[in-house]
Amino acid sequence: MKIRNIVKDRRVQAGVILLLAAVAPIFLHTASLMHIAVLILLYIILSLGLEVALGITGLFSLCHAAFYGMGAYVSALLSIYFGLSFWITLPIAAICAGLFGVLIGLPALRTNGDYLAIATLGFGEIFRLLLINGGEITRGPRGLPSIPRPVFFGLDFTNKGTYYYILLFVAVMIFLVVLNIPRTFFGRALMAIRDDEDAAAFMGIRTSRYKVCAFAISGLIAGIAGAFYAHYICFISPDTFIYNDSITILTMVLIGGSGTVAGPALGAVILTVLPELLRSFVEYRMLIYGLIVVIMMQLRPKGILGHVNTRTSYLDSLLGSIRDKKIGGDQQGGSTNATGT
Amino acid sequence: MKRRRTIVSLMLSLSLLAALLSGCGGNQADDSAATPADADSTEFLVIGVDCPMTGGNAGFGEQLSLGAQMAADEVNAAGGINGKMVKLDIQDDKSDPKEAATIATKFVADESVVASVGYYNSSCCLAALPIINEGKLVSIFTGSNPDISEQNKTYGFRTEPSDNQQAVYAADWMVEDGCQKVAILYETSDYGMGQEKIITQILTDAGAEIVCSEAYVINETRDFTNILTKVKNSGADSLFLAGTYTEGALIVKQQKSLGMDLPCYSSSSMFEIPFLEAAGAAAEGVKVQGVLVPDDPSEVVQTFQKNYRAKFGEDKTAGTFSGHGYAAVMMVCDAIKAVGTDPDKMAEYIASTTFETVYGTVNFNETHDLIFDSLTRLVVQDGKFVVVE
Amino acid sequence: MLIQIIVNGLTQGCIYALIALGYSMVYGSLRFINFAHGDVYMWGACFALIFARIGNIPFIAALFLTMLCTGTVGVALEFLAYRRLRNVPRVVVTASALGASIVLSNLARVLVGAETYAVPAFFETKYYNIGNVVINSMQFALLGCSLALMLILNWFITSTKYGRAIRATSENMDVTSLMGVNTNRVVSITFFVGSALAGAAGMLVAIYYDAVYSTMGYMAGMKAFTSAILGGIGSIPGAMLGSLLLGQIESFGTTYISSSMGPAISFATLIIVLLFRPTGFFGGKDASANRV
Repeated sequence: MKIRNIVKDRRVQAGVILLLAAVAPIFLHTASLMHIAVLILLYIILSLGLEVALGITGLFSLCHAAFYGMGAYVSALLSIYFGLSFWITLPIAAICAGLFGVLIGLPALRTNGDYLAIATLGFGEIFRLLLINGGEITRGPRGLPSIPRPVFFGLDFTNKGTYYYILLFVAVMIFLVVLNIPRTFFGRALMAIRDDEDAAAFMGIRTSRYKVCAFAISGLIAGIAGAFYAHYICFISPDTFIYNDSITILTMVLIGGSGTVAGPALGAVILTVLPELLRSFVEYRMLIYGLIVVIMMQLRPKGILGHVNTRTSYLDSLLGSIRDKKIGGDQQGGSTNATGT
Repeated sequence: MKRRRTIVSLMLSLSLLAALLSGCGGNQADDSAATPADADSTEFLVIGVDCPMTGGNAGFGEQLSLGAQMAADEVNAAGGINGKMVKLDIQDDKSDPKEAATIATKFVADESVVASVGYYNSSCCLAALPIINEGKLVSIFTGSNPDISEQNKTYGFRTEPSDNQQAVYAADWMVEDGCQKVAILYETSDYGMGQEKIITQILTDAGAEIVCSEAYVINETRDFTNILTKVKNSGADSLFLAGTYTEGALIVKQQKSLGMDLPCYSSSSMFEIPFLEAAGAAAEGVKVQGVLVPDDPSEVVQTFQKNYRAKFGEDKTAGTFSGHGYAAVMMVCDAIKAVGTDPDKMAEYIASTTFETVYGTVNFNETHDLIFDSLTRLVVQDGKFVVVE
Repeated sequence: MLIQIIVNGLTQGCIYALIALGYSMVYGSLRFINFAHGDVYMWGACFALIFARIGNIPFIAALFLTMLCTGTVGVALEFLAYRRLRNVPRVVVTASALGASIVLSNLARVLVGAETYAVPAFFETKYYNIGNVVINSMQFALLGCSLALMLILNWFITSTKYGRAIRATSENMDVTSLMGVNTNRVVSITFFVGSALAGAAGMLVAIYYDAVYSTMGYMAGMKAFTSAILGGIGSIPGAMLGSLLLGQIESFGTTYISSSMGPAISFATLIIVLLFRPTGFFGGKDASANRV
């Protein structure tokens, strides 16, 4: 087997990246670098969540930060007021965020395209205002301090490395889930809705059901990230989950390449590392960030991996692999691999 | 073509990783501290400054950083601390607690950073507190949320009077002046909402009546004419402003445009020169309280003002937060001079020493809050803040 | 009291109208929401501040200059951030718009400053008491200018060659270009006009509230956008009437419900309109045909 084909094999690429991620903490010798690594993983999870809504189903969702916040607040409130362990509050928070996704998805069915974006933006803002005016429960703008760290037989949660590995595990799991969604009927229905909603409806797909499901899954994944965030920084407030964060996650997905699964992850890495590298330009940091977003959109509208990966939808690759098998294609691995990212 | 793209993307990610490791790990402070020419050969003592340099609170962040800069330069001009020069690492937290957490982690991880100051927003303080406590980094905060006292603050100290203190003094003044029907306008931040609660309680206990209590959204509400119409119709005889000076200036101006002329009270938030500049003639008669009085005839304050203007330009006046930045850096340098850079010793020193600062003579209490016996009362006359005896 | 509320609402409505017209016109031609429009409005306020500080410029001249400068900013924005993205999924253009918004507001912060600045007055404000209601000369100026500008715009759109070109382009850009119209130029003109109006709004607001700061674009932009949707996006009379309506809704809402829920009222209005009558009251372009 030629080296080129080994390198191109997606499984090998994935394996190498996973290996690098697993040993990375050895090289990240300061707490500050580990913190950034943890943030990268959180944003990878968030981007993958948005990918389900935006990349796979074509739903222009600008309320992702609200899902993030919902997961964080539910988990924090349950730990503070009921003393529940993180491992119980995590699934509950995720489910609540998923239900919140349903809540937003149902009315959003009536809108499309840009209108959907604005509607989700509105819902996100209303969520934030509810948090601020939430009286004694959410403590309004004062936020929730002293959120307890997770406890798990002897694992030391003051060490960022613990968070890193648990989040790495979660991120990989979610990555695999999102990767495999398109291979299911459910996933193909979502993609059909993205490509042409009317045609999908003609084919008998109950679009409303699937769209709400997509919102729910998107919310669930973001809720998981939110719960982790709350128990990592141990303080949350309504101004932690604002409109700007929804935009940040959106740009991560777009710059990385929406329509692919590794794209959002790559986007998350780039757009988390970039502001850190720019920290020395205190005055101009946000300016440079904005310029980079605009320039990237001009040069690579499909995102970085959207261009590298010449396939535009999972369906193509699936069809491609079926076509090859039928013809009796003897090409191994590489570009016709149906498990492509 | 496809192969080249894959290689390019691979190289891109590898270089990004390399940049991450090198760039973030060894990122030293670098900014415009006026260090002497041979400074490169000596070691630096780095003080981290975390403040909002962008976003709605950028004005305060700028004040904080300029005040801190002035202090650092003064210390260096006097020969540094035991021969070492002081350098500031000014970081922008965008008023976002997530950023503040990242910055605090960075400060803690960087061995050359011996202390950190700033933290204007209370939510940024609360996000950073666990980190600096776990990381043993002495830090001086300026957030005013009372919860900061309740948090574990071994290494944290707070110099801005907490909302409880501010509100109490302000309410006492109103009671003394005989206000019977009070209208309160407060912003929907922890500052505004906290003050509103306390003022309401104290005034009702003293027998006054709160006839109107309206909230407005900080950094968003610009048109107060409807709110003020409500105030007018409620028959209030005085107005309390619980919010920052940006909205405060708009309120007093719009009050005039509706033909109202209620006496306005506020705590230290209106006590800023930019308030006078923004409100213009409408600020006449507004009563405020504060800790750093520009016209305080005391030598310390006058020298501070003079040097500030000389350094940063005649149009910039040192506001309260310039004072905070300056005092915080001075306290830290004082501590290092006395006991060195060990965090426990520094914390103990700061907690137990009485400092001579631009606020006057102050010390920290057992919850690491700065004690102010009272806040100076001032009123705006002829476009200036004048102390009320 | 009631009349005061209506007057206040009218003032707000006129401001939103001037900004909303920009949104509507751009949406009409290009079928996308220019998220950076709010920051163009903010730049109008900054230009007004600069001209006011220079001093000795009469009000009308300053207004004209501000509109000119802001219009140029809008044209530059379109050329740099949107021109290449005509045939690309709407999400990408929106991301570009959001990036442009960040650039514009941070540029203002760097060039003008981070504080909130008072604007040196162009003319003295006089107060008039009509019964229980207080109106000041600034409000008259604001209402007068807005009405004048809206009338001029109306004339421009309906009676001039370029107005016709703009209307044709918003009907169908491809066919219009087949007819020999330089649609790129038309788009630039659309942006110029829309941004100039937003610049006028920025100047009037800067003088009326006497406050200019680099983050003032977001909320005003959102509310103006809500007005545009309320009236039917893509429709110019819709934008005007929707804005006046939203101004009244806000005025009554903040007085009788709660003033801290002001933004929430706007967003709630937005969502209700989007859910139940997306084409707005006056039937604008149908955005539901818009794919991401």
